[in-house]
Amino acid sequence: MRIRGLRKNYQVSGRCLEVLKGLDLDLADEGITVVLGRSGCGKTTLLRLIAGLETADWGEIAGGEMTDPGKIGVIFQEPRLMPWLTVEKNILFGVKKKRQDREALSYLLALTGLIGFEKARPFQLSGGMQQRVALARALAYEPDFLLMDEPFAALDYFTRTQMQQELLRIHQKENKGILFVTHSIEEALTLGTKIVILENGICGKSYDLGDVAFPRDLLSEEMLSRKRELILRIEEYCQ
Amino acid sequence: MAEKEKSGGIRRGWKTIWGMVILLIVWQMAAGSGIWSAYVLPPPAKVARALTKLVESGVLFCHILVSGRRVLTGFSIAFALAMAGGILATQVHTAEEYYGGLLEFMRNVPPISLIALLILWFGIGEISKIIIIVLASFFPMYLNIRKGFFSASIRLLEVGDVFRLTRWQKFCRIVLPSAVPDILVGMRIGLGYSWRAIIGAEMIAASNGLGYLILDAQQMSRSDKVIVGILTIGTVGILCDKIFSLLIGRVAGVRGAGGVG
Repeated sequence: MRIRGLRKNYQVSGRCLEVLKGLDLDLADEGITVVLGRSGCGKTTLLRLIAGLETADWGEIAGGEMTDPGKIGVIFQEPRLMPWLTVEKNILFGVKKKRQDREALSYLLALTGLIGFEKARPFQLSGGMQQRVALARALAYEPDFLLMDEPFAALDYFTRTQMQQELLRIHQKENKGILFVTHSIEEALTLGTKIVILENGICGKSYDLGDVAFPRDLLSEEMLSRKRELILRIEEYCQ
Repeated sequence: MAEKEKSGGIRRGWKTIWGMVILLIVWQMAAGSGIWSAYVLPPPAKVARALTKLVESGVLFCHILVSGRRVLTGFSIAFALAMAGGILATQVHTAEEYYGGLLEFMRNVPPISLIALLILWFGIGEISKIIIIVLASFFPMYLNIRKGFFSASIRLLEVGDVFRLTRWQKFCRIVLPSAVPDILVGMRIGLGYSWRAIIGAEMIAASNGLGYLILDAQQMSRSDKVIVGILTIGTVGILCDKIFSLLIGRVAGVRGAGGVG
């Protein structure tokens, strides 16, 4: 996916707030691109523009040779499940009736560890399980690309770590391109094959971690030095 | 937890029975005190005898059926209109600007005040009574349905946008199911209003129905039958309300929102 010259302004109390100022970004069809930035730097805005939930003031978002970004699956910060539907009906929410396939559903239930919870309602599940349903729902849509907006931010440390590992496992199986937005450096280092720092409405320096194998030991010398580098860069931006 | 709720329910049931027993005792004492004649305030035993006679002859059930049929017809029409109005308000943003003022005006006019005109236009047949029910039950249903439709979560609607649902698909698959609790609350209130309205309408122009039973009994100085009529209306009202209360509770339970009503 190719993003060129993306601009987005908001009017807040009569003032024009420039959130994205001509952002350029290339997203790999495979791999996990992590956009890292502090709160309010425009990460979610970028994601919403790619998902088509908002319109850019200027710029272009295109997928491969196409002018359209293609089928996009989105996992929001909150699971956003339909409370009146069971787990399996939530998973199939975005799939057209005639294309609903029992086998594909069973595969997704197994992939996301939800077997046995098909008939459960969202309120009967923990936060982590609800996010798994949201992930299965996004995958059932068979998207060309997945957008994830701090999906594990509301989870506790243990669940978050487990979900990160599950995401890596699912990514290895499905091999879909993912744009993952977060403000956590640890999370970026755990998941990203490429890390891009978003600051002042544009993409700053990017780091290629494609050569670092999963699962990663964040306490290893290599990862600690990368973390140090990232922190220094972010502090530089903040000054 | 469930056991605690169950024992709480049984306790509440006993309290209700006690309340009724106390009311019966007070009623019996008042009737037996001689302050009022038995024509004005019949004792409970006399009312019970009148009730038994009306039940045995089947007359009471006929009146209940007639009133029930009228209520059901008017209530169904009002529900269909309220749904149509709610859908129009949600799907066509400017539509409500055209009919909102008229609805606001009609909402403030008591349906019973229109009965003279309705009899003039439609006679004393079924139509005028059904119109009264429609007018009485439309507004609580419309306002609740409208509230339900407009309070659909933007976050859930965005999920529909992500899956590229059309406007109508979003309405059917997100807005409508989200609004079900509010729709049921509207129906519950609307049905209560329907029963109140039909009694009024039948008291003015009818030859059958519970309203007619009360008015006829009053003209025949049969206070015991009047009280039977009142008790029947109250009982039918409570039964209808309980059905909706159960439905609302079930919907809320499915969504994990706890019981309502």
